[in-house]
Amino acid sequence: METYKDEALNSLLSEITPSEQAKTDAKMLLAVKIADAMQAKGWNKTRLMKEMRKTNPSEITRWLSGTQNFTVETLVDLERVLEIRLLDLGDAKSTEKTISQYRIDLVVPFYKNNQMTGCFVSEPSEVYTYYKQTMYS
Amino acid sequence: MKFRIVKLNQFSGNKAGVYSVLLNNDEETLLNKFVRENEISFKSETKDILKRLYSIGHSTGVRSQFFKEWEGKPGDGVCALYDNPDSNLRLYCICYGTQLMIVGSGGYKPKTIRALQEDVKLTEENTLIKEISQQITQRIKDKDIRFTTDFLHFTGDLLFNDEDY
Repeated sequence: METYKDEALNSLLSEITPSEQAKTDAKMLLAVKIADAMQAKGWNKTRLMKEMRKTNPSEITRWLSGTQNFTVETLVDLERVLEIRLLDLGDAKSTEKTISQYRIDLVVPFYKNNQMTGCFVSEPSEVYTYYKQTMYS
Repeated sequence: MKFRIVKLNQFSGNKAGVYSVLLNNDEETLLNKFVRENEISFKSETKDILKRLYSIGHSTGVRSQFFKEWEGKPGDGVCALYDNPDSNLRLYCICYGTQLMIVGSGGYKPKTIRALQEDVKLTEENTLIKEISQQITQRIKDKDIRFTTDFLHFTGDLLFNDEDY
């Protein structure tokens, strides 16, 4: 049983919210992912700097240190040069829903003041769309 | 110098074991001393360091990229946790592979100085962590200190006393 009293440490720790900790975790995990991708490609910091068209080596060191608050632009560039995924846009893509049922109403001018109306209706239980009706008025 | 290595359960997780040092008969670890000395003037920076230590223990493990290496003698594992670009705090650590680290103390390092030797306080803290590292390394060589099979814990004699030598 340890007998030390780290009061200052524990007090400050208690002020850290889960949200704050999650942001730090994300920054550090991004840095790890970048470093692992560099290692897989056999790249050093200088190579990444050139691929990213940067001129300051300390910028790359900062990216890898886990302290960097990356912009989306930088992450997209890193994804391209390292051929990895850093931004998970899977959810956004899944919002592109496939329309399985629809109805298209038509109103077409027909002879002087008359018009022709009709509609195409998809049948959910069937694979085809059928023309439902034609009316003249 | 008498000291004891103690595990910091607040930071240790399934990715890394995080330890600190109780010096002589102190009731606080070196990390607590670091927090106490800096939490007034550099509160957000100090808090940020604690968050990073928690991430290391629970999310990432001890990765060399997070540390400024070669802060001690060759091969002694002494390094400094990288600070935020707009921060001026330096925290000395000793890293053992990717799953164990010992956190020492440190202090304020103005951007105007390049070498730690230009600052008395940092020089003292750096000398202390190098001395601690040297003694731990000797114990590891003598097999008086070992690692558990999952490499997340030190086992063995973690109490150091100059009179032992």
